[in-house]
Amino acid sequence: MGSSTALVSAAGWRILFAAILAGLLVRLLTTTPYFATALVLAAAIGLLLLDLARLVGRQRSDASPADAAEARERAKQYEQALGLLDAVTVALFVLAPDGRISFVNRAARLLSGGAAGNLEDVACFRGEAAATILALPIGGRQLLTLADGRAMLVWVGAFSTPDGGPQRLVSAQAVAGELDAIQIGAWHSMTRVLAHEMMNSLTPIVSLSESLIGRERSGAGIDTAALETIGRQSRHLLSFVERYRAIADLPAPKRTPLDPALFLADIDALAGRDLRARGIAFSAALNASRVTAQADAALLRQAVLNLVRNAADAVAGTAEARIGLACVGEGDEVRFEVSDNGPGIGPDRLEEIFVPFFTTKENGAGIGLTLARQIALAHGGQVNARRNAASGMTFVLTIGGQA
Amino acid sequence: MDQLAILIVDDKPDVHQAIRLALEPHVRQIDGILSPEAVAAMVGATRYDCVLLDMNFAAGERSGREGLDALARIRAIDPCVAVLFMTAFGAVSLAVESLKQGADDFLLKPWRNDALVSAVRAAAARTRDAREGTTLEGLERSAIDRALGYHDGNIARTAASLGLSRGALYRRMAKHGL
Repeated sequence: MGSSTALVSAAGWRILFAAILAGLLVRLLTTTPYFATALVLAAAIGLLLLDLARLVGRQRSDASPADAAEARERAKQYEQALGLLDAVTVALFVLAPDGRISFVNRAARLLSGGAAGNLEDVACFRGEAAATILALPIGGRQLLTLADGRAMLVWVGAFSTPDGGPQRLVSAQAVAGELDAIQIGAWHSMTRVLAHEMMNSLTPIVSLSESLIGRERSGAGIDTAALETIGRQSRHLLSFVERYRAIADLPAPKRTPLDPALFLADIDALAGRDLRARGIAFSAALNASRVTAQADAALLRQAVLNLVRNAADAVAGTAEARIGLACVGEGDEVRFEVSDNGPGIGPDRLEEIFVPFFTTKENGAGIGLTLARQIALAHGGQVNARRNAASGMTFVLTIGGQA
Repeated sequence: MDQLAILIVDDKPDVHQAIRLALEPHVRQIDGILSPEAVAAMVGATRYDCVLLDMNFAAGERSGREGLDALARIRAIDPCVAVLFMTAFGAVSLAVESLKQGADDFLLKPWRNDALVSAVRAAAARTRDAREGTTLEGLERSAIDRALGYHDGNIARTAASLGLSRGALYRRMAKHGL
């Protein structure tokens, strides 16, 4: 503000003086023949105008330090971005349109072991790996086993710069450690549940059979109740193994176009009446448009029914029990949300409930939610549980989408 | 056989049945409850020699919290009774924690009957020692009892070994009902 008003006043004075001098010059030339004086006046006017031009020019050049600061800021941002890319543990390769590697981050340099002109030159991509990556479509993902045995998840993206044309971004992430950890974690939780279940069933069998042998030797006679318990616990173990088979032998889904309205009507027919007879308010809402998702209707029905039955068990002791089923979807992504107003599940249990054979119910089999999740996974989806803000749980089964 | 009274706290009736059948020839009284709620009342009403306590009661529960909670309530009523935790395979670290919190021993499920019987006997012995050792009267009674046994009931030699007059020994024996 200050500098611009100073400019206006400084320029104004010069223009005023120049105008006065110009007026005098005109009068001098029209009334008198004093050419020498006129020449001096004209020179003075010229000098004033020159000064004015320089003043304006200087003011303009004052703006250029700001431009320089902006350039410095941009360079700093660029450095930061490069530093950021180097800090990323995922290896990034940028491929120019001609297939040459035009940029690598630190992880990629470590992976390739130095300079490499093409992707085929990178040691660990030698052989089929490079060809597989180059053949991937934009947005494609693939798990690759490298020449040295490491597993890597490779993703191909695209971007373009004004001067560089369309370029491909190849990112490669080592996943072996993560996969191992997930597998070991799943294995541990399942072993824990299995051991607990089996040991609890075996406890009376082992002890009672020993006692019975002792009684037989001492001539105390047969204890029928003990034999009955041994039989019952053995049958329990058998059915346990049968349930295990149900999870292990899940058939591959046979996908056909999904009709959400028909699907909801089926669920209502299969479960709705039973729920209402038990005093549970059940409602199904459809909010789907132009659904193109494909699913195995029979398997999906089983999965959603399991979620609904699970909700029914959860609200068994709840006054004004309510279960809502909502189908939300568009295109190839469809979501089924089953919500209840029961007591809910503790946050520490949210993942445990999906572990095979884990159950919080007396006489529960511990496979309903596991099967639902298996079916969703077979459809490229997922089942997740979350606690409602007010009360109870919502289980969300998703199929299709970005998977 | 031993005049032992034991209490079973486990939510599974089959486990009760198995323990009863295994311990029947060795103990006098076996009580059982299916939930830890009444454990304080039971321990308050009967001086048990051993409590067999399950660690988890609600289905799906594996934290052992209910068992440890019941242990604390038993200890509040009867600090002397030995508590044997029963735990399924895979909960050993939990069993160690229970020992730190005052359980006497733990029994892995499934158990062998011999191991069950000897664990209960050892627990009962610890209960007896604890009960006698906690009061001056108990100490005095067990000291006199042991001295009498050592001297085959000879009053004069027992009194001499305890540093008492024969009259003083008679009075104390009468007091303890020996």
